[in-house]
Amino acid sequence: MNTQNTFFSKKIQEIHAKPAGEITHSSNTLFKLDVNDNLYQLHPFFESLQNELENGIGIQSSLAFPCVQLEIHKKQFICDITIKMERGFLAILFFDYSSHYEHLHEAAQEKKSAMLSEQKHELRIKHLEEKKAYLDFMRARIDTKMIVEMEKMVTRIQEFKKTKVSPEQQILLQEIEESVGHFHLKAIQIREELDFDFNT
Amino acid sequence: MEITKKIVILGQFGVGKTSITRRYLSDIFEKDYMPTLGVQIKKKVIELPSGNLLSMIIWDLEGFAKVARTRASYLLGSNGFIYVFDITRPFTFEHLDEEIAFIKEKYPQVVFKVVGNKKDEKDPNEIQAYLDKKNIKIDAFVSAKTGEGIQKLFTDLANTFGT
Repeated sequence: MNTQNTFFSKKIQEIHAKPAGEITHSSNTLFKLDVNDNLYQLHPFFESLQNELENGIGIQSSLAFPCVQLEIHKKQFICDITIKMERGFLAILFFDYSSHYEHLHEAAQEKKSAMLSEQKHELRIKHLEEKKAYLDFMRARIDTKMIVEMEKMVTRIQEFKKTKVSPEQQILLQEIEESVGHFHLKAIQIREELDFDFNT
Repeated sequence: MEITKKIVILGQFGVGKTSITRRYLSDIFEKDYMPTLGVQIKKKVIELPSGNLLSMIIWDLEGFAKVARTRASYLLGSNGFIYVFDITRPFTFEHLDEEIAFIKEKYPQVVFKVVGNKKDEKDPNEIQAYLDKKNIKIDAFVSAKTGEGIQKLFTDLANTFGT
């Protein structure tokens, strides 16, 4: 029991201060503070809450601030802080959980790094799905709007060539057919490149 | 005359809250990601155009999925919020409209800036259409890595406190 008391008493610091900031008592377990030190000049944590603590704004009876990284007089601890509004003074407790939070920090880093990787993976999957949908759309357009239409054109040219046309017109139709055939081949190549691009 | 203002940095984990704070306070950037646990509180005193001094006390909070899940005590006495999202991770801004609405409803008196971080990694124009569609107004796109927009962000915030 005595051992436990000693252990915990080394981990908890109790401070009393007037709402105006004057420290009237400190157990000095973690940070060495002097009576008459100004609470609001100890650390920006208190400075930023001065208005609320002086005037009791937004405080029911007590406030809890878990896991606050404190550095006072060049000593560092990670503390849970409880501030209680007593009649005429503030009772402040620092609970030193440095070891606990440092251990937790490693676990949190692993967990959050894993979450970041998972989000990155999900984003990649989503990106691939969107890319696939876009490429399917493009592929369908190339098929229906270009390849099929050009095949129809070639059929029509061939039908036209069977009609009564002059030798010059035959040559011209042959050239047009070859050009369309060339475009047709290019369109098929582009469609195949889309498949290749997606697969990579 | 010196006035004190409490600025809280909000946003989901990994968006760069600590990097933005560190860039502003010390003009440094660390590539390795180390999540913040609880809260780190830092202070910077700047001179306002009026000659008065402004003590900016910056509460760099652990990332939360939603502002509503942030401990109320952490937000007590806040004068300014900077809500940070990561423009490369849609998860961090897909509920931005709800977050903005929540903050404006619950903390109407607090000066509020919304910034998209990591503009060095992605062109902000790529997400602008999404933001426009949801009618979300962003104050700035910044980069903690290069420092772009960080000083201006805090200077603009400081100037809203006037005096």
